[in-house]
Amino acid sequence: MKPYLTILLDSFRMLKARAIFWVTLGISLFVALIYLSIGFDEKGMSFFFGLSHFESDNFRAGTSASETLYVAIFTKLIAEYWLSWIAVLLGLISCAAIFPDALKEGAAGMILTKKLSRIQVFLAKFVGSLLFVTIQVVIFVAIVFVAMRWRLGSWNPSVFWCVPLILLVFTYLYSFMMLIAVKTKSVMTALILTLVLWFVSSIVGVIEGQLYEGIQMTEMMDESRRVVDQQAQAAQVQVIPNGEEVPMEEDRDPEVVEEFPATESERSTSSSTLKLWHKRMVAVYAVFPKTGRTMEVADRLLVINGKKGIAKGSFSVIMMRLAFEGDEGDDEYLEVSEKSADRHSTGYAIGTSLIFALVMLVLAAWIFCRKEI
Amino acid sequence: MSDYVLDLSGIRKTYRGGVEALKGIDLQVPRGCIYGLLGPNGAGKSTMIKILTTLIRKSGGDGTMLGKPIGDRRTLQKVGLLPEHAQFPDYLTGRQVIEFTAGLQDVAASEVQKRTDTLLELVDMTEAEGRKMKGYSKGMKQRIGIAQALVNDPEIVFLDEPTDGVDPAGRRDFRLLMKRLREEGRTIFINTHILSELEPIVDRVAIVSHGELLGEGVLDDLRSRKPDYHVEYEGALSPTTQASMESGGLIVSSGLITMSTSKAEDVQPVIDQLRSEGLVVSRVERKTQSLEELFMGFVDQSNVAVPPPIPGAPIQPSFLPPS
Ligand SMILES: Nc1ncnc2c1ncn2[C@@H]1O[C@H](COP(=O)(O)OP(=O)(O)OP(=O)(O)O)[C@@H](O)[C@H]1O
Ligand SMILES: [Mg+2]
Repeated sequence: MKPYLTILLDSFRMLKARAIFWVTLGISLFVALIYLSIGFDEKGMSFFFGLSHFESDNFRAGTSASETLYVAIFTKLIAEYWLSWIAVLLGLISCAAIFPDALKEGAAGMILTKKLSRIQVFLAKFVGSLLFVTIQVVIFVAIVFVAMRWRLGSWNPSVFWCVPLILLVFTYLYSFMMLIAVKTKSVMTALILTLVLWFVSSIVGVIEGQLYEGIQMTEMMDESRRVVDQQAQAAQVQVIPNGEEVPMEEDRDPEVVEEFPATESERSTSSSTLKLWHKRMVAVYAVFPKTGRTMEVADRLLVINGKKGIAKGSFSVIMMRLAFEGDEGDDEYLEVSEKSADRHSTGYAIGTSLIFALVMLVLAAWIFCRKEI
Repeated sequence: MSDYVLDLSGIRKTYRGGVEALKGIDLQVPRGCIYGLLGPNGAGKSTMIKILTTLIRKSGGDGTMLGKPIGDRRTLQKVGLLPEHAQFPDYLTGRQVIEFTAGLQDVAASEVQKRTDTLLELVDMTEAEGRKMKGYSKGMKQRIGIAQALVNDPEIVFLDEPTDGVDPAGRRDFRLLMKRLREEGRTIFINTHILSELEPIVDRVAIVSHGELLGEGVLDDLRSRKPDYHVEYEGALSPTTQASMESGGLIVSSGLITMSTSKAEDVQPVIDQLRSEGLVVSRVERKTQSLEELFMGFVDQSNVAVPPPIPGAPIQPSFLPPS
């Protein structure tokens, strides 16, 4: 046990000895402080500990709207941008040198020639990196947790779901980075290729999502069109393909007709092309680590106003959902966005990504164990 | 189980890219000795230590260390190592580096402090123990390196160029330390090409060049194969005497006669001859090879590209086949 702890302790000392550690901690605390500075009172909300204040009926102390807003600021702005991008990036930068350093001749002679086998050293260093990132994220989320209690008056432990999720995202990327690092022993190469992977998998994810929403939209509009057709038939009106129909009936909604490909066959080809491309994208995306989707899992688990799942979708969707609250939200956009957010199960998103991470990890460990110094 | 702490046969290493760093080395190292592995740059000395400490894999051959096959992790716990180009974490202090190795080698917590204190004392680094490695001079780092190699109370210690960068006082301390470790029954395996350093303390040496073992044995045995007598005189030798001496196998230069012999009685007729010619014999000396001469002899011999030893050079050691 002691040799493991020695390596863990050393990893921490190494990370602490670097400027990046303090930079990360500094920015992290700053962001947390900004969040903490947003507050609500009877008249409205204030920023920067009351420095700027604006009045609002909706967003004031005790309203469910203000709770939604405050939690949404956390999940949509802070968790989505700060935690899942910048904090992960800083974590990657911090840990980028751990494996290349371990394989440098002078340092390897210190550690790899001792009691612990290579695989044990590998795992100790891996766990050390994860622990390091965990501690940073936990500190941050703990501040958010306290901020919510202070500003909203109730504890919201569901924010801690962010910790394991961020850690998962970090693990996907870090496992790839370790592979490159042990292969090339180069910090820069490892970091840059990891960023490329991250970028590409995010793009693929976004394209897949857009295609999916496209299909949903098309189908929904087809549905409306069918309804229109039926109505038209009932009114014994012929709908002409180019969108002009004669005679014009009063209860017809001309917009619907003009917007879409008019014939059944045209509509189905465009929809099937979309579907084909979407299928392809899903296949491609399957092998990538799903960083975005993994973070979105937090939206399903986060509790707002005592309910789960409100945080799904974008910031505006959440606010819309709030506005539609009560009237059984039959807004199409909301519906599509909801469906879109749910299209991959948590198990699929995390499972396939973990398979990716595991493959990278096994390869990295194998190379690490066989590396000649 | 063999009696040797290190028993190697036919160890080979071919690096990727095809460099044959070791071409089948047989080596037996008895317990409790100071063993010197000598060889010019690129001979394969560090390669040997790297194989023994699992930094690289051997390409062939077999061997045991402390009775266990090479690479056994439990055995490595009883091994100390100062690697070549050692790089200690520069964010640690000298003391922390020693404690770090202790931790890696699972030294009992109760022992660590005591041993660290003793070792810092031994390498004369007590004063600077609290400073960070990055602020140390080269020799200071090397002293800490030697200390950390000993913190796990090793049975065998590998030191790759241990006195690289260490000042004369440090070298003397180092020799004393090595002797002391030998007295404690440890085996010390030193790689070096700084021969003067090793000469006063080493028990056995192996000489390698281009990955091959050229000679191995007790230093004194290796030396006594080629002892010489030097007779120095003042004045000029008559040409006839000089010719007859040279035909008798002696090497005569102005003021110096060199004889290949270990017996003092063989020298007497030469002295008589000189005296009978009225010359003054100023000095008669039995010469043993310095380690350096021995080393150069082996290396030159193996090195085909190097011209044969200059005639008149006092030493020409015979090739010693590895036992
Ligand atoms: N990682 C490596 N890859 C390829 N060749 C190597 C590698 N390390 C060493 N060599 C080669 O193996 C040979 C032996 O090198 P080694 O470092 O063992 O020599 P050495 O005896 O320790 O020399 P020195 O006294 O200079 O330290 C050299 O020819 C060297 O070029
Ligand atoms: Mg060397």
